[in-house]
Amino acid sequence: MIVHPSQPIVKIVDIRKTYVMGHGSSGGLFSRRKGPDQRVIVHALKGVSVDFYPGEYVAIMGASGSGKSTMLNLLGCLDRPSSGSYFLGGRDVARLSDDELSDVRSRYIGFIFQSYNLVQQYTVTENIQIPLTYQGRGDISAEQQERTAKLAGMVGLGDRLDHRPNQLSGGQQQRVAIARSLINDPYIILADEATGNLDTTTSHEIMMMLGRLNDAGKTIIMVTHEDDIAEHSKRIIRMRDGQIISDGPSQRMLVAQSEGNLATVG
Amino acid sequence: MGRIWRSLKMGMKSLLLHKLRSGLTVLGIIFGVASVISMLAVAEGSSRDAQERIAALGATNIIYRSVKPSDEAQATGGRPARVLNFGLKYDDFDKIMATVPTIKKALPIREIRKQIRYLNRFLDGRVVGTTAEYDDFNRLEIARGRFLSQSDNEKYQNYAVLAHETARTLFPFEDPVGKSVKLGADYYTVIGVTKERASSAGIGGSLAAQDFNKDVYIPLNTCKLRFGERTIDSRSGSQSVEETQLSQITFQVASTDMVRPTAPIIEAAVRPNHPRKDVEMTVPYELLLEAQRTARQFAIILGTIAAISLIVGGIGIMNIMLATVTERTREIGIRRALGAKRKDIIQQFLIETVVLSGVGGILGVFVGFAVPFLIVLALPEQKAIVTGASVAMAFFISVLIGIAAGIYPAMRAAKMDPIDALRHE
Ligand SMILES: Nc1ncnc2c1ncn2[C@@H]1O[C@H](COP(=O)(O)OP(=O)(O)O)[C@@H](O)[C@H]1O
Ligand SMILES: [Mg+2]
Repeated sequence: MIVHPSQPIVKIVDIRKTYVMGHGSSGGLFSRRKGPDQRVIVHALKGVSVDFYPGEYVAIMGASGSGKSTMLNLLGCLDRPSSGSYFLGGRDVARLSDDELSDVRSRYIGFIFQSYNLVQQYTVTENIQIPLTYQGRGDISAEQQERTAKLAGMVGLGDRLDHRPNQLSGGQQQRVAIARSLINDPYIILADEATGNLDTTTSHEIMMMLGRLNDAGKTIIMVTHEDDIAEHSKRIIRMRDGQIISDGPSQRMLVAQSEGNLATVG
Repeated sequence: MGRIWRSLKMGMKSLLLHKLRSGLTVLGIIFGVASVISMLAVAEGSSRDAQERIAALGATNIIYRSVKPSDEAQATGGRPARVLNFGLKYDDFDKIMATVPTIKKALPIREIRKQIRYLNRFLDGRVVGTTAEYDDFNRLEIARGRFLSQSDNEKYQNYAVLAHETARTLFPFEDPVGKSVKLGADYYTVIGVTKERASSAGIGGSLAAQDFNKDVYIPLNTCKLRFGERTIDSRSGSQSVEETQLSQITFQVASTDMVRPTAPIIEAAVRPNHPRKDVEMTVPYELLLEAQRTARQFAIILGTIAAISLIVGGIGIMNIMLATVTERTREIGIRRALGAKRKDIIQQFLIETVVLSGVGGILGVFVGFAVPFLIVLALPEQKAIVTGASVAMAFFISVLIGIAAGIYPAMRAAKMDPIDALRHE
C-alpha cells in the first residue's frame, strides 16, 4: 500500500453494521424454544460514508450508543462491516479473512484504549513490543530494541523500561499504550475514549502528546464524548443513531482559519 | 530460533504470574512421569532378576532331579527304618546318553547333607559328588588350587573342593589347600576353593534359590564308594532310610534351539522307569521364556496404572488452562487487536502447556530416578532398573499429554471474537 497525501488514507462508503442478538427459532439442536423468532436486530451503523486523509486529527463524538465504538472497531479492522466498502491505503479490506485482518492490524493500525489494555505480566518494554511479535519473523532485532527505547523515552518512560503495569500510574500506563501504538509505525492511530479513565491534568498531558504526534504527521482518529478533549482535534464528526449528523473543523481550527483569513485580509 | 526462544520466555512469564497454580499443575505431571518411570523400573528390575537367576541355571540345560514321592513319604510317617528307594539311577544316565544324540554333555550329581569338619570347626553343608565338568556347568570360578579332574574321579581320589563359605568357616586364618577336612568317617584333601557365587533360581519344584556357598565337592565315584546310596533322614523326629543313586543330572545341548526338541526325547526315555513321579524335569529355557512373558505383562499392567496418573496430571493441566484462558480473555483480546492471528493465540497457549508439561516431565525424570533408588533402599530384595526407553517414553508422553490437554483451551482462546474479548470484565 502506498500512501499519497492527496488520496484518502481511509475511505469508507455506505458502511452498515447490524448486530443480531438472541437465538433464532432455528437455533441449536437442544434449543427448547418453539415460539416465534426471538431475535433482536440492532442497527449500530446505518450507512456511513467518510474519508480520512493522511495527517488528519479527527474526533468522533456522540451520545452513548450512537455507534462511535462500532465505527472505530471497523476502522481498526477488528470487525467486518455487514455491508459497504472500506479502503485502507487504497486496498479494500472490508472482506478480508480473519488472518488477513490480523495482518493489517499488526502493520497499519495503532490502538489506544480507554482502559490502557497492557499485558500485566509484561514489562514496559515487552508491552511496547507486542505488535512486533505478530509480524515478520517475530523476534526483536537490535534496531527494534533501540526504537522501543526511543519511543519509551518519547512518552517520558525512558527510566521505567522494566516496570510492570501495576507499578505505573494510569497516565503512565496510557503513555505506554501510546508508545505501543507507534512501534509498528502505523497509518492511523485509533483511540477510543483514551482519556476516559484519567483525571483532567493527565488527560491534558495525554492529549498534548497526541497533538505532538499529529504535528509530526500521524493520522489520528479518536472517540470521545467530552467537548474539551475533542477540541484538541482538527476535525469533529458527530454521530447519532448510527449515522453521521455533522462533520467539520473543530472550534480551534475555525479560529485558526478565521485568524488566517484576517491575516490575509490585513 | 529467536522467535521460539522469545515465545518460551514470554510463556514462562505468564506461568510465573501464578507460581502456586503453575507449580501444583507441574506437580501433577512430575508424579505422573515419576510413577511411570519407577513402576517400569521395578518391573524391569524384577524381570531382569528373575531372568538372571534362570539364566544361571543355564539356558541350554535340561535338569532332572530326584524327588521323594509324596505318597510314600507320608506312608512311612511314624514307622521306623523302612528303606525308601527313589530317584534317578545310574542306568537312567547311561540310557539317555546312549539314546539321545543331541546331548552335548551331561553332569551327574549326588548331594548329601553332611557335617563338614576341620579340627574343632564344623559346618552343616552339602556334600556334592560330581565330575570334572561341574564347575563349567555351574559357572563356578576357582579362587585357589583347582577343581576336580576326570582322573580324580577315575582313581576314586579322596579329594575335596570347598565352596567359598565352607572354606571361610573352616579355615578363617589358613590356606585350606593341602589340609584335610573330615566328611563322615573319612578325611579328604582339599585341592581347591571356589569363589563366591550368586544363587540361582530354585529348581525341581522348590521355589527356594540354590545356595552354592556351603558346598564341598568330591569325585562322584569317591562319593559312591564312601557314602553308598543310603542316607538316614532323622530330621522329622522319626527315622527313615532313603536310597537314591543320583540327586540330579544336568543335560546340556549345543544351543537353545535344541532345548525344545530334546526335552521330550529325554522325557520319553526317563519316564517309563519312573512311574511314581520320583523325578522331575526343569527346563530353564522354558522358565526363561515364561519369565519374559510374565515380565511383559507385569510391565504393561504397571505401566498402564502409571499412565493413568499421567493422564490425571494432563487433566490437571487442561483444567488450569481452561481457567487461565477465561481469566486472560482480556489479554487475548489485546493481542488480537495488536495483530495476533488465531494460530498465534493457539501457539501461545500450547507453548505454555508444553512448558508446564515439559518442566514437569524433566523434574519427573529426576524424581523417577530417585524413587526406584529409595524403593531399593527400603526393600533390598527388590531390584529396580531405570531404562533409557522408559525415561524417554515417560517424558515424551508427558509432552504429548501437555499438547493434548492444551489444544482445547487454546482453541477456545483463539475462537474468541477480539471485540468481545476486549470488552471482557
Ligand atoms: N456486540 C454487539 N452486539 C449487539 N449489539 C451491539 C454490539 N456492539 C454494539 N452494539 C450496539 O450497537 C450500538 C452502538 O454501540 P457502540 O458503537 O458501542 O456505541 P458507542 O461507542 O457510541 O457508545 C448500541 O446500541 C449497542 O448496544
Ligand atoms: Mg463506545
